[in-house]
Amino acid sequence: MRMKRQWLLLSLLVPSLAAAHDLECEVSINEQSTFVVREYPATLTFRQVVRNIHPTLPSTLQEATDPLLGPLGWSFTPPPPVTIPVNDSLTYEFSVTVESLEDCARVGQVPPSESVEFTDTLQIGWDQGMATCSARVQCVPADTFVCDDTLYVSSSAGTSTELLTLDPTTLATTPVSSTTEFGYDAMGLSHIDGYLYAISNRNLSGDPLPHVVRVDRVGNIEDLGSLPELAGQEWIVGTIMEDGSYVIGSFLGSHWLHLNPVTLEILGQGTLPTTTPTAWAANPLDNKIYGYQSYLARMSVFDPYTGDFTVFGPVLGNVGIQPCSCAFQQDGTFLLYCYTSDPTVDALFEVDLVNGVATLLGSTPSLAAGDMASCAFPPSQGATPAVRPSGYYMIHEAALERCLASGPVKLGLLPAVVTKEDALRLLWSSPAFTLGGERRSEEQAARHALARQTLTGVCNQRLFGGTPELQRLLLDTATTLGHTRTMSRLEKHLGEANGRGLDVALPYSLRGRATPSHALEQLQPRSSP
Amino acid sequence: MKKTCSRILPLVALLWGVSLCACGDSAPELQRYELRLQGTTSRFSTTYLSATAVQVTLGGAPLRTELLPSSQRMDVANPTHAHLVAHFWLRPEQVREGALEATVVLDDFGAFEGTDGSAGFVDAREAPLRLKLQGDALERNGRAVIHIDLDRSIGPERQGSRPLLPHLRLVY
Repeated sequence: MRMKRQWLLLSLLVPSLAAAHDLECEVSINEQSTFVVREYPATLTFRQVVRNIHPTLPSTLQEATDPLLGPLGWSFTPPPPVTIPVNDSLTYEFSVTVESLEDCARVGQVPPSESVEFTDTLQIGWDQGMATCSARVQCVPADTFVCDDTLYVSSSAGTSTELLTLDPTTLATTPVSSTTEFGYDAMGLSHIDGYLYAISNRNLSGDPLPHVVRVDRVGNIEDLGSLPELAGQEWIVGTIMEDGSYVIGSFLGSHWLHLNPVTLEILGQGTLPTTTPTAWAANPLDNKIYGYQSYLARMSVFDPYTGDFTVFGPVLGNVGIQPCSCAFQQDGTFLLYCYTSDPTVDALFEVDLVNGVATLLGSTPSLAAGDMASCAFPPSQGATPAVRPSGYYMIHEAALERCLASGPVKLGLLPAVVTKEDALRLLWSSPAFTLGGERRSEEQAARHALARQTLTGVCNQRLFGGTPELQRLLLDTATTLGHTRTMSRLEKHLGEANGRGLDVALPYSLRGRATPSHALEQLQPRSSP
Repeated sequence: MKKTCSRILPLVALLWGVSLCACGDSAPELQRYELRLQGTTSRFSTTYLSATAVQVTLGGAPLRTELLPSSQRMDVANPTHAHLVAHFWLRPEQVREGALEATVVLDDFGAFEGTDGSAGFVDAREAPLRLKLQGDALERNGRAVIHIDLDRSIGPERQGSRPLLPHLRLVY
């Protein structure tokens, strides 16, 4: 077996080495292979580099095509054929301005949507070969945060703050933005307007009063000003309530303040009967603030509308007397992020609010004086719910099991999907062939593709609630008579609906690890869905 | 996956042998050619992709083509195997009669496992592989091998998914 493989490899490689000329290409957009536009207007500079990689001979670029840029009025200058000397390259460049999200769709020649994406592909040819290279542009709405289950953590020292995302599964952090002008804390992410509100206890303006600041997704910080009520305290905890109001708590005096973050109108204030929790966040299920009383190592619940405050549950010995920060997921999961006895390590826990037990999810290198925020309440308008395309279900067996726990998925004329293995066989086989290698007819292919999207759509509904659009399409699918053209049309629409929430983070409880090879091992070629 | 490879390899060798034998035949009959796919990567331990359609045209006119079962769930991160995607047929003297072009449509989603332990799905919905074949090289070798540079072709991760941005070369 080994001999055969080496022989095959060698014989495939030899002809390529014998080529007389050789070119390679590279496309970038603003020097990146995938460029995300978040601010408008934006200039996109497409750079196309064609490099002669023949060690001793010049190579001639015979032809070059780029279907995206042609319609935008661009052409290759100098036009091929162009001879490129040894160790040299040819660079083409084209810049275009994107005025808005809608304009991005025009440039990309794709339909407008909430997240526009398009690919620029360059194809080059020479006498002995061709090469293709591509880069992608994604345009997203300006400024505001997407209201989903993404966890934001801050790391603050003096007048500097870094904002990062924290993946609760891998505990990896990714930088979002940073500032050297505002040392902010007490963060709350508003589902009403998509901005992060915080209190800058220290800033460069020289004003000794803390200020309310508003941070957007790209890191612009608007100083909303100060209030006399903020004076003399260090505000360390903050959260946004269901009505969009902002509740903050101070470290030393145990003061709390309930305010409208936009108008800075005071809605309520007082003093807590014990120390201020070092972590608090509003629960989307009951609109009360749950916190961690670090000195007691117990949980507390606070209603800022009535002033009621209660410490509840057992001592959380595994969390201990440590400063923490916390956030809710939209499904009511409470995540607590704490210092540990090891100053270089922080730990993430999930706390069950019914029986008060904290479960360790993992540890991560310590962040300085971190706070945490998430968009716990459902966004007020125009939000895209989290859904996932079929690719997600191919590699997340736990999600499939959870989906099928509420019953089989009916697929019209095809057998219903009952088990995880049924689902994997459907998802991993393509419309072209059955798992056993039999070619599908055009009609069978359309039926298979529609079945795959139906399973995906039903699981999206069962796991994430789905969308009215998805519900309507699934109803249409259930009643379709099965004409090939109708099935293909429905499949296309369902595919779009299943892919529309890909940018929205999933709730923590549904973020299992992806296991492609394991999923593939579950396929049994004996049956042919 | 090892099992699948060991099942496919003898088949590939056999088919290829048949195709080479046919090359020596000088009768003006339709000659069978191969289209293969092979990846190179240092970042991914596995990358599964399937093809769902293939078209080869000569001067714009479609040639007889056949997508093969070995084009399903190909682990293109395996550098020792050029997966047989399709056969297509034309007469040897036709190769210089017009532009030879091929398009391979991939199934919507594939999957990857990184050498760093990460994993997710590959979004190939916008990425048909478009190729221009060199007639004389094709005639000489009986096949064209699409080399996909996975390190450059598999874009940055976004919520567990990575877009396929094809970076290809053809060798014969």
